[in-house]
Amino acid sequence: MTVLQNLSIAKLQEGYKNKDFSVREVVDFFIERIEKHDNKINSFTTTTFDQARKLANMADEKIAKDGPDIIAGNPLLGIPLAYKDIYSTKGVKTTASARVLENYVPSFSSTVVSRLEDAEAISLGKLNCDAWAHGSSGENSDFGPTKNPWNLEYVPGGSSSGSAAAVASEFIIAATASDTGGSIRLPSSFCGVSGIKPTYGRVSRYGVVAMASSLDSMGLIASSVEDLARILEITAGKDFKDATSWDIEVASYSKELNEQVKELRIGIPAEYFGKGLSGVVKEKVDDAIKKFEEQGAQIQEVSLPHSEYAIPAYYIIMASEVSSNLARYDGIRFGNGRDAFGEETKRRIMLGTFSLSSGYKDEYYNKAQEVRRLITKDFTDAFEKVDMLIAPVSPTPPFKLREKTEDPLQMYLSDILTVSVNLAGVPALSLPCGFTQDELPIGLQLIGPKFSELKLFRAGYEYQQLTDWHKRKPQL
Amino acid sequence: MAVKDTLSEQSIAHVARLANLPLTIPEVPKYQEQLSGIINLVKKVDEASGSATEEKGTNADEVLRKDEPNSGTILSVDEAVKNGKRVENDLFVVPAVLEEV
Amino acid sequence: MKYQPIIGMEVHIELRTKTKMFCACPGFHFGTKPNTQTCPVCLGLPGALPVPNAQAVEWTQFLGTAFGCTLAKFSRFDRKNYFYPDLPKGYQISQYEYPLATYGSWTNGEGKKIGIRRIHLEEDTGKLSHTTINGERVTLVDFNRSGVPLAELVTEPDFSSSAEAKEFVQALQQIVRYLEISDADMEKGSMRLEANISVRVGQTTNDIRQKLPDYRVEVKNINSFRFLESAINYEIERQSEALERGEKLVQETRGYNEVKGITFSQRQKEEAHDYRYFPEPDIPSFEFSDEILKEIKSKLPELPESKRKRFETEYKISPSYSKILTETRELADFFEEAIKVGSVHGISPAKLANTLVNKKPNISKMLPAELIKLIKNAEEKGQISDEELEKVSLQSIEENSDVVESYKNGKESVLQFLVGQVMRKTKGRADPTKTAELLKKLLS
Repeated sequence: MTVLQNLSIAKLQEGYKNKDFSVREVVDFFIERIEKHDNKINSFTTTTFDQARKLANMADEKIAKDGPDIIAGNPLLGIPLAYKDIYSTKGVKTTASARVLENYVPSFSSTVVSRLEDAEAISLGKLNCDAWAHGSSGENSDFGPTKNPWNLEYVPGGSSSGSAAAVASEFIIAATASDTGGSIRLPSSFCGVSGIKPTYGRVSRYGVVAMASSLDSMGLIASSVEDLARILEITAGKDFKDATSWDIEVASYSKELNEQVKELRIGIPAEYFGKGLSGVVKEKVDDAIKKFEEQGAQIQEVSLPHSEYAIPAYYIIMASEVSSNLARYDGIRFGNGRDAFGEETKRRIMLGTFSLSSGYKDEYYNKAQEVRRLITKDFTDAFEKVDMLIAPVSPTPPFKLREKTEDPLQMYLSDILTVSVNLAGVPALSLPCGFTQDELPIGLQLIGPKFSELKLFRAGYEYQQLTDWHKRKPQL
Repeated sequence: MAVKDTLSEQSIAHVARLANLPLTIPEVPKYQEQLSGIINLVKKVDEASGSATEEKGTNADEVLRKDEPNSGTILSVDEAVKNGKRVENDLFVVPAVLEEV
Repeated sequence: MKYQPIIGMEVHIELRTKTKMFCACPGFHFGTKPNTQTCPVCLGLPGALPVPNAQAVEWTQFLGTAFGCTLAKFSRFDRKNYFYPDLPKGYQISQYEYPLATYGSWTNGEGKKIGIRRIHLEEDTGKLSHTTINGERVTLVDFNRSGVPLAELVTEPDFSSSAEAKEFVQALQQIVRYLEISDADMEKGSMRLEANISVRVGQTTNDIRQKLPDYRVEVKNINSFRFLESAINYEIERQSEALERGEKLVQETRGYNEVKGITFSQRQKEEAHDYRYFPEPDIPSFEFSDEILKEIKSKLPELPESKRKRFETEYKISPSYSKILTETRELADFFEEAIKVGSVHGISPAKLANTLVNKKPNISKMLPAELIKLIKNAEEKGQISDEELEKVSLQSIEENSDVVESYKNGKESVLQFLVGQVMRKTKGRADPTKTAELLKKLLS
């Protein structure tokens, strides 16, 4: 069978239609690739290959019996993907890459997984991440760090490290992921793939190991905006099991991508292009801005004045919610005891407990919430002038393994360009926009007002028609 | 807590207790140093100024759920206890606690 | 020195909703097999999320309205963080800053006003039991009860005696049952009491809220109204004696030992009181429209107090009869239904009241119409005058001298034979109890 490269959902389904290959052949191809290369990358925590083969066979039977038009009614039929290991999967280990949950097998699936399964997607397994989603590099997994497939000495970014690395390595077409402070956008940028962090409340959090309840956004990583759009329209939408999910109509993102965004007003937040930004990152993002300008977009500078308080506010609120969300891990009903928590997790639990404790709550937690409102207002004000913002995702290109692990504060500062988005609950789309001289990927993010995913997709889709960054893949 | 202050060992021990985190004695100084550093970083929120109104509440109808049973979500007793480390007659077993009445 | 008791009550009421507070598991749990009624939410599994029960909210608002509270327009849930094996999430979803109802009152039989500070909604914990396994003492946890809705009512420290406190909780139980929001059964744990007791030097009961003592003792594990009285009385005495001795009393939690009739100190858990309350991020804060809040008042069933007064005026029955007839919703509703049916058949409310109060028929086993029928039958058979009764009784005595002889010799049971004779002669019109009394009198 021909080596499958640069695949997309559309390409695969076209191939199935035309009988270029069967679902089983495709799944076998991916499995073989994973078995050959993932020992280097370490993107999977659990593989479900037997089940995947069974589902592939069933898919082929369906296509044979009902004809290729059946694909229209089953939008993800025969599409191999995988889930960040914080998504509960019934009957399949769900560990959050943490020793505390190393043997936990849930009796129920998260809503996102159920929706994807109903759409006939085929899961190849669970993906590695920073334990409990605590981390920005992918080095904090209790089951070994994930490596950047572009260069194994470099970090893939986190916390959705396995998700981004597996997509970049072409082990899967797409992965579910989560973004609480940049955990989709950062690894997507470091691995040269595309990621969507939807509006808070756009996608159900039910069944996903909670990190910070008011910040967690359930998103996706794939090789193109088109694939993100096709999958988001399935996972998004009200879930009655999640009281924070919004009952707002989900657009047919994939069908409405092609509309060109005329008179698009794009804002450049001054605070995100300050002196901490590395030269090559600035260069590549500037190139992208030029591209948009060439297409007729109006570019203007805007300000997000409270940006400097974003990291402090984020870490207080996030840690406070983490300290409470992780209280259920007491080893009684499931999992190991609390002595199995890693260092970073213990730090965050203690920071959160401190911030909420009597005598400090006003100064820390309450003040952080105030700052959060101010930051949210910064975005609302900016969006009165522009349709979306464009910005880098990381102040630096990917860094080497162990480069930042000594000092937790160093690691926290990697999030400086991403956390405001989570505090405000707005959506952001990250796109590959270039490479360093050493062939390490660089990404940018488009940020929009709440529920503006379609607009972001359109702009991103247009950008990906004009550029090839997203098509490049590492040689493993 | 003043800026550039260090959390005392007692404070660390107190926070760890509240958080039900078993810290060994040698661990305390390490966390003391790291946490103090982090707290000095996050303390910056204090300097922020400005005002933004709090968001209104959501309509209660959209938040509350009808009082209707749903057999789809209930777990069988086996499913409920199967992940427990220690189970006896379908009950979870823990070391004896003094009854908090 | 005279010490003035200052008592406040905290009462937890388990709401009898069909489903639990934050999930769709069955709410009824008493006597169920362990861990057969759980789901990811009430078991605190990773990824589970709470969705609040609208009925529980409405019933809590009913309770608030019944006590004249202000119903909150804006409300929300908060997390109360602490660790305990019966608390699966390591926090309880409760309400701290914006409870559903605040600042109401209740007036007792003597006209004294008791302040109701707040009523809020929270979820119950699992149930613990204790045993020994292979010589090791262990605790067992059943999560069927975890997540069941609890309404918590807190009064101001306005009670000055155990009797006042008892009167209040009895009235509260009646109101809650009237509203049909809970069984409020102390034995089954669907109503739980906690008393906060302190004493201070003083002789008058004027303005209790001025200068409250700097401590209070929380007494838990009180399982009946009777024990409430004894626990409070014991505490008042214990505290007064301690102060007499010059001891300083501090904030503490004590349990009540009903066997010994004493309260005892429970292990101090200083840090346990830093609950680190913060708004529940998994549930948006919510607002009620003015229409909804107005509707609550109109939805509220008539309360015992109003019903009692109304029965007196509308049906012209005595206060004591009215009190008995309004003791339970069941009896009161039965009474009014019977009045409706009775009016067609010329049976007065007074007659019905009389019958219900004095004859105490088993109303759970009959319909109001059936009671009317019985009364009618009795009436149709005609009344029997005292003279006629005496006449017939004497007749029976005369005709049955041997039976009378037996009776006079100590065989008291034969009296029934004579009663039967009277009944036969009067064709059932005589009242058996009255007849027996009369015969006894005549034979003595």
